[in-house]
Amino acid sequence: MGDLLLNSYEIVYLSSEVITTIFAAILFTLSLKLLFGWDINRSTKEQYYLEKVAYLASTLALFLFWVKTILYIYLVYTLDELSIYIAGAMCAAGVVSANSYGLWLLGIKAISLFLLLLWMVLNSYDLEQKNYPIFKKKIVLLIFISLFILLEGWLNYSYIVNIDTSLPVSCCSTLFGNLEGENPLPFNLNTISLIILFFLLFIAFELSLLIDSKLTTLVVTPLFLVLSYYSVVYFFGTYIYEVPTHNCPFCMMQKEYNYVGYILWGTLFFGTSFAIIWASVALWLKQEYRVLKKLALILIAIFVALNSSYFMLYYIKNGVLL
Amino acid sequence: MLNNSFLHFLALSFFTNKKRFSGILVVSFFILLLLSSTLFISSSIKGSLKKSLNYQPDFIIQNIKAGESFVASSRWREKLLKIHGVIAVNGRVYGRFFLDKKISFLVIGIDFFSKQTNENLDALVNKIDLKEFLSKENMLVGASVKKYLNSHYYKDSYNFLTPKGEFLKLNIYKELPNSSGLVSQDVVITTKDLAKKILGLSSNEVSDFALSVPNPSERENIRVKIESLFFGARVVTKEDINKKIASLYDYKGGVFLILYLIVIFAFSLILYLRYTIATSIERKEIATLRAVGWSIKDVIKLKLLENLTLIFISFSLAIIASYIFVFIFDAPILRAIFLGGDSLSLNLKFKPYIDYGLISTIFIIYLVTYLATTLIPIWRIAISDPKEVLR
Amino acid sequence: MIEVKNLNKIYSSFSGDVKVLSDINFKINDAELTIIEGVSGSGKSTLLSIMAGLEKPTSGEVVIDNDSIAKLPDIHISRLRASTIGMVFQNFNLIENLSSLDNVLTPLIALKTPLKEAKYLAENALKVANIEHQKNQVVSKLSGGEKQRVAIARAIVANPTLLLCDEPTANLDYKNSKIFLELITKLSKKGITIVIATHDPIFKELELNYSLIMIKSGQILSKEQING
Ligand SMILES: Nc1ncnc2c1ncn2[C@@H]1O[C@H](COP(=O)(O)OP(=O)(O)OP(=O)(O)O)[C@@H](O)[C@H]1O
Ligand SMILES: [Mg+2]
Repeated sequence: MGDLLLNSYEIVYLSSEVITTIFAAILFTLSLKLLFGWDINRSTKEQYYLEKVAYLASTLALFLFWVKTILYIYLVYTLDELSIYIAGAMCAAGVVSANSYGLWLLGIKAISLFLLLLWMVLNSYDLEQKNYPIFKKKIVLLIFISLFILLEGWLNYSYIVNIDTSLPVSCCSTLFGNLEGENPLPFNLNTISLIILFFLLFIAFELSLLIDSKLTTLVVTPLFLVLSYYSVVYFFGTYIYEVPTHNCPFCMMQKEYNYVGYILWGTLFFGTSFAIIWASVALWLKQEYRVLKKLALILIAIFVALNSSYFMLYYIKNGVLL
Repeated sequence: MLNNSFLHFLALSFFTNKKRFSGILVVSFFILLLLSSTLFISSSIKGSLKKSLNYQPDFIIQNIKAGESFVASSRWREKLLKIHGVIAVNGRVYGRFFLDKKISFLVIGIDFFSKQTNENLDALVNKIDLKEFLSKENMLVGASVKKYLNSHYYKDSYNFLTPKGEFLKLNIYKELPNSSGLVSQDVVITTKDLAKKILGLSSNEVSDFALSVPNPSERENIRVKIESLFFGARVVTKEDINKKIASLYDYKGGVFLILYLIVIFAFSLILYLRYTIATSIERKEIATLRAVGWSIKDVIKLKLLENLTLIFISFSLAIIASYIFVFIFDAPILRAIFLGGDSLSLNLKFKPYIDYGLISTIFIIYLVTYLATTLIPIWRIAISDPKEVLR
Repeated sequence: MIEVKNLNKIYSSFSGDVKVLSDINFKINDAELTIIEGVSGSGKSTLLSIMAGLEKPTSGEVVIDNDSIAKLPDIHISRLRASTIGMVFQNFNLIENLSSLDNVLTPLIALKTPLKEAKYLAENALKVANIEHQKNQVVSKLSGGEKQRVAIARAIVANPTLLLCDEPTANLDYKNSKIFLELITKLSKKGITIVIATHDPIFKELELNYSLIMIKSGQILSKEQING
């Protein structure tokens, strides 16, 4: 751990995360105050002040969302940089698996970003109404989110402190590859059926948004998300790397591959998140945020187009498939 | 965008309140300039070291006695060549020649007729007229060496005092081009035989062996085999060196970074004060905006965008300025701190080496501290009661 | 329609509580002109700023178009201030280092009006307030009367239905006060509801029907209908 902690990227990452954790703690106490003090029917000074405190809470949430998004990208980049220090690691995949916290950290980060997004949409709905109809509900969600971010702060620390540079880790091909001949795909799919299913779900996704079928969107989006993960790692990825056995979600974020992984995973994450938020808010509050729908449509279209273009370019260049 | 009235106002408030922003702008510019200059220097050094490392042999075999590397016998060569997977073995001759306690040259002896283990050297050797070079006792010298010799009135030759107590006079044949960066600053290149004499090696001794093992998957096996075959042999791989250098310079950069985090913390205090003790003019301005219909949200948005603009302006100015400072003016003052008093490495030129990861690192520290310090004061300004201020 | 119901305002400070408004009740119909008269310190400014939602009452409420404005979330009350309530302040409250035009733009920015349209509206408002010739002048270089007119232009730029004026003639000479009266007459005839707080007798010269509310130490003394 000693020398590793002095890596510039890690110092900056950790100290920025310390700041976000402090803000999450502030957010937590503010939310508690709001939850227990809020009474829309009172016209007391305290109530008027709480209304202003709610603005601080939403400003903090906005800050956390943006900073956390930037830091997420930065974390992955840092992990890639760290891979040279750790025996066996060829990319971030190895570093993530250096201890049991890594994968949890990445997962919880994604979930808290999603929840922050959801919260910001709910908040803007609530503020647009004249009587704060979902105030308490949104504050409960905010408490939950701030706890999540606090947990994340602890994970950040535990993860980085417990990276042991001397212990060799597995590289991505052992983590994701199918060396033992086992089928890594879910539902016992083979590659061809995986890809057919992927495109069918893509069409279903876009159609459900276009015809405003919220329930369909809610069902299709999680499936599409899962299938997209496997399709990118086990099919499209091999065309990005141009190596049939290279299955890794992380290597594509390296410079050699023009950092395309960031765009792929970014569009997938935000596209599916927007779709789910759009559909659930429309169902629950009867309020349509068309911007979210449009963004979801466009981002997922970019995601699929980018994936397909790697596949097609390879075919055009080489005349064969991998 | 030009038709956005909010941005129009943002620009307006920037231009009409130059005084309000210029102080912060100047302070943050200088802090960022220092931070990015040091990080540029460290990454430039790391970059050129890494580049020269690409030409390094895959394996280096050293003979270790009492924990220190020792000369190796040429007889190892045959045995090494027999190991399956090793395709080339090269006995290398090099070492430090000390003029006094502080100043030393790196003396490298090379075989001018075979391919060099280092591609920089290869390119160099190809450029010189071998017949002429080998006809006399000649050497190639790095820029720092040349400078040192010149200043001590050795215009075209130098008398090396060998460990045996004899003088060996070598003519300066040519100065090495500066392009090879840090590594070639203090070297003296000559033939293997002459180098052995200068360094005090006997004719059947070498400094170490460089091995070429093209197949990466065989490397681990070969390392184990060598270590069991030769008593006292240490195997250093290219990756080992890479790691060592990276962590050495990361360490230096890291120490500086921690210092700067402290400076930035101080800076954030200034910022915090600046926003908490907002001028009465600014308070009145915001109260006025609130009175004519701006919501708390609008004011927070205005102030946040104001800050972001400031961040972007000072950041890009500082990055450009430090690029010029480091790569065009070679960072006067700072270089001495960074490279230590090592006089021979002082006339190196930093190679422009743009590390986007580094630039984003600087940006992230700056952005996060800046926003974090101003967030709550901004909110306080935005919620202040317009009636109270406007009375 | 505007309804002020049982309005009380108490300022608390270290030296004790000051009751500035007590039990104020009145109604103003659309397009009516109302003049609130009272000596200095009687609570006129406080009343107007509560009506504009700039301040919260201690108890009671102000209802504008069926919304009790003290209860409205900040976004709504702000939007109301930007679009339906125009206010001319006793001391103008202009941003001194901006030009007249940019000052007049500010409410429109809050309403997210595109810049081109906003500029067009602002110039129009300056024209109505008879100060268009100074549109690019920095406010700090304007005279009191000119500032007054810029403040009026800002108050009417978003076509409000309610105009609140706090001592609008306090800084004007007789001639400028007359010009202001003409402007008020013009706006009132356009159907804007206008409330003016003043102790300037010049308003007796108005050739309009208006209701006069007299207040003293925060209480309503009398309400009467004047036909001009
Ligand atoms: N924030 C405050 N804290 C304490 N007292 C206040 C505050 N604001 C106003 N007051 C008091 O309330 C009373 C009414 O003030 P207000 O400004 O409403 O009077 P006004 O009728 O507008 O007088 P003027 O004609 O001088 O403008 C005054 O006595 C004033 O001192
Ligand atoms: Mg007053």
